[in-house]
Amino acid sequence: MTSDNGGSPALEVTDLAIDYRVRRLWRPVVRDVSFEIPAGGSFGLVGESGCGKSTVAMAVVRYLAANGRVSNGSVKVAGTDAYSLNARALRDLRAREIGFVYQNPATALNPSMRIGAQLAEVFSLLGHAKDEAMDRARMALGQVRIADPGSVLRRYPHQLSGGMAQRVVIAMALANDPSLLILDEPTTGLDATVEAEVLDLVSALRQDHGAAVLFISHNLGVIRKMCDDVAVLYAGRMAETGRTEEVFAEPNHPYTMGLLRCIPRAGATKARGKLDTIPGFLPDRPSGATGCVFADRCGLATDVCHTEPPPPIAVAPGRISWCHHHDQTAALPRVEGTDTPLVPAAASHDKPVLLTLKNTSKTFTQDGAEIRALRDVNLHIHAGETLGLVGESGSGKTTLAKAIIGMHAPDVGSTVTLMTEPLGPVAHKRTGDQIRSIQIVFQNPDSALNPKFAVKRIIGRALTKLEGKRGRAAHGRTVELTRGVQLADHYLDAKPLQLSGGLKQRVAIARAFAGPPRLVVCDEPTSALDVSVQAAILNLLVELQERTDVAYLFISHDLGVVRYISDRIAVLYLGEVVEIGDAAQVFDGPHHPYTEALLSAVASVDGDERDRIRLEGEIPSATDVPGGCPFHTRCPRKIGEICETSRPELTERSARHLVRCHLPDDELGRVDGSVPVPVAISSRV
Amino acid sequence: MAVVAPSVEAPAVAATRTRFLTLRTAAKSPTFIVGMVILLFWIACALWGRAIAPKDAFADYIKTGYPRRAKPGGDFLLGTDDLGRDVLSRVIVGSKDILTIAPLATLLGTVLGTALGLVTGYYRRWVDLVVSRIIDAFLAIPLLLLALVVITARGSQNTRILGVELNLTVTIVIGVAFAPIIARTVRSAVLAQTDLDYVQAARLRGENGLYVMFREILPNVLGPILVEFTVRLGYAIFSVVTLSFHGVGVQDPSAVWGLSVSKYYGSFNPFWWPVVFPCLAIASLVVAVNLVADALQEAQR
Repeated sequence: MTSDNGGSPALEVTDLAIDYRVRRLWRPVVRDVSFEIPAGGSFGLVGESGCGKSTVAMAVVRYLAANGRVSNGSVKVAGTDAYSLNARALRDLRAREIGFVYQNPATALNPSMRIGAQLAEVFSLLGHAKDEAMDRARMALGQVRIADPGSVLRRYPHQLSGGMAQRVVIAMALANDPSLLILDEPTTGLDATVEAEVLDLVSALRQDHGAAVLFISHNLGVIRKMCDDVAVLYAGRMAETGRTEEVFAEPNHPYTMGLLRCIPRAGATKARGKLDTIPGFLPDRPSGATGCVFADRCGLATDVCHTEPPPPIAVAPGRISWCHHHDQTAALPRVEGTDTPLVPAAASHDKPVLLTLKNTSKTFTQDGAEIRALRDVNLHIHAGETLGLVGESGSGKTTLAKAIIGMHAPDVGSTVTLMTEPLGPVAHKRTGDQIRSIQIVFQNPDSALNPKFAVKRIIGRALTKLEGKRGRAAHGRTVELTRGVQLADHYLDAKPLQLSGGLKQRVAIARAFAGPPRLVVCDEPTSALDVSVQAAILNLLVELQERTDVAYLFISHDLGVVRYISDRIAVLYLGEVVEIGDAAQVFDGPHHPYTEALLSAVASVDGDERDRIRLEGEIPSATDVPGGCPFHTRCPRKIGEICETSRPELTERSARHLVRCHLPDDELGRVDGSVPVPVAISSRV
Repeated sequence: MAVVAPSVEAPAVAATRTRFLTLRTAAKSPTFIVGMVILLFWIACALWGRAIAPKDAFADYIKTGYPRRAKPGGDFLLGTDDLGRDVLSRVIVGSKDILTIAPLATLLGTVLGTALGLVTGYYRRWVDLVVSRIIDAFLAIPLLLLALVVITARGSQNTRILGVELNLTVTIVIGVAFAPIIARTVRSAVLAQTDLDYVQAARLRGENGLYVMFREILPNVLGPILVEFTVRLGYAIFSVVTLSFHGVGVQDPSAVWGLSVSKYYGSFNPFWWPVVFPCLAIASLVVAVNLVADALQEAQR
């Protein structure tokens, strides 16, 4: 079904330059971006937020925001110059040749139309008769591996899970059998297990349709898995481009190198040392600078970098780098010393127990139905340790965090103890000391800080409330706290609007440490941040822990991050702990089958393809938890009837490592977890 | 352990002042400027009406030899009315009552409505349920009926407050009638805020409800409240005019516009000028207020 265009590439972007008009001035946003995707090829655009990835994608379909313009260059889709077309021809080109998949499937679908009607509409537009269009829609859903297309056709978008909705969007994008499929962060909001499924689906469909793919992601692992070629963008310019595995294995631009070093991967842990970061910030006016846009943040920069823009340099066949010093990339100095282990080797489980949860459950009632978000959770957190909490969305991670922090009361019969005292169910029933002891860092730093308050007021108020400090004493401590999170003094008068995401998160962390706390609940504290900022925040958290002996309950869907920061890890499924143990035990195995599936779903930047274990279907609803072992409906290692009838106990498999499964130890799986990689990587990268 | 020296460099943030951002953004739009110019004209008329007016608005010019119902033009630019009074001067002076009662009534409604909206939006559950039902019941009473009943019962005399003649009854009736409507808008703005983590963070460090509502949330909903105030102001002007048209509220010999319209609309043909010019005045004032409201709303986005 490959569309034949006389051998012209599916997409050819040449010297693309894009400006945005901001306050009556045209500002350069993208400059000199050129790449080519052969028919059936796959190409990735990768970079941090603000680097111009999505802008380029929008320019390809000629759909820039009203204040945007293409000021130079050309875009050819299947040989046709998109910018030479009139409105009708452009519409036709979009309809015939291009499929577009957006980041958020929830907003890409019309909430007031049934899936069937929406999908059939696409086929009607393509010229099919009405009843034929509906049949086509049904087939399209089958094609994206939706098991029961009939029922999905009758549903509304809000009745679909994120993964299911994204499949529908992909089905829609493929309806016209496009020669170019553009995917803009298609899996960013999805769980790792669902992400793996969607990526598999895209790979398979690519083979069937022969469509070329332009894949945009900030996730290097996903790009590594999906794309033949990649371009790394920084501040609207190409940093380097080439075969994906070559670029990631042996980067030729210090920015790529920096990105790769920021990622906690392949078994990196805090005990092995700090993560590297990229110093500084994205320039305020990208692409306008003379010289190299990355020069201010680059460890290799010399005078020439500040005066002369780097030309494209062919460093190897098919590889181009825009760096004066591309040959020195491997020698890029580290920002953070990596060899000194940070955390003393004393095992966290030798420390006194700080928080204990016994038979903790949480049931919500909605429209008469009971939602059992947490079921008989037993766990404890030691002073000064990090307990990582992993599981898909809907597994009860956030509910558990909210119960601990006092946002909602656990069910009657649950016992939560802090030190030796029972902990009040909700915040306003706790003593001042208990409130001070347990604080939280939220996922989204934008909403966590009152936008109308200056930094010093945000932190000062927490001090007044938690520590009873006012006036001069409060101010002195505020300065101490902001310095503690490495925030310069002049930010004290800034309001959140004037701060970047990473700086905001530092303020939020400083506020949580006002108490000072014994336990800080970190609910995905870095998932809204770019990788380089994430690395800095993780370093900060580790450092604060070392200094104050605070304990963390760390929630994240990013297993690399959890592995890096956690001493122990608990895996949650449908509101119960299915596995808990030291981080190394949980990662190295033997695993609970669910943990095994989670681990194998991760798209690794190192590209080591493992035997993937795919989970069937979605996590069941908490209103109707399956009997027996709740995981039996999706378990690839199900033994038989026992799994459906009897609920396994959480049993100790080795010292401190507990697994809730009927399988004996030697039959539990292991995702290749021997993890010898980090040393190799740090020597190579 | 030693405190680590700050290592995070300053990002190049434009040092934008975030205070009164809505107002400052709006001030740049032509809509706002046009609306504001008209509005300021009427405010000037309200403040210094008798000085600005070319003639004495309350004098009977028949006595001085002019005809009654003089046509527009000549000595009387907009003509004279039945009693030989100068229409232009009366239109100018007539702005005063409206421009005292309407803003004060709106302010009263906004203060009451904001308090109600904060409480219902923040506490939700049964507080919200009870107060919201009362608000709904209140909204079901037509403004005109309410005003008729209250004014008949209480009488409608002008009171002197801080040196300003003011019909207090009309002001309070309109203010109270507006409060529930404003409360609804504020409530929805507050609801959006309570979902944000900074409100959770405040609760989790043990702040009480009053602090969270008035110190944390209120500054963040001032924008929508400002917009609501200007929108309501337009309606308040209508309400004052309507009430005086119906003969409740401000009474003769006041030059208030509604009164003039109500008195002369029966003899519109051919005696149109004492009706049309006050109507144009009303329209221009309401349009001006709405232009300002629109500009503010736009600036919010």
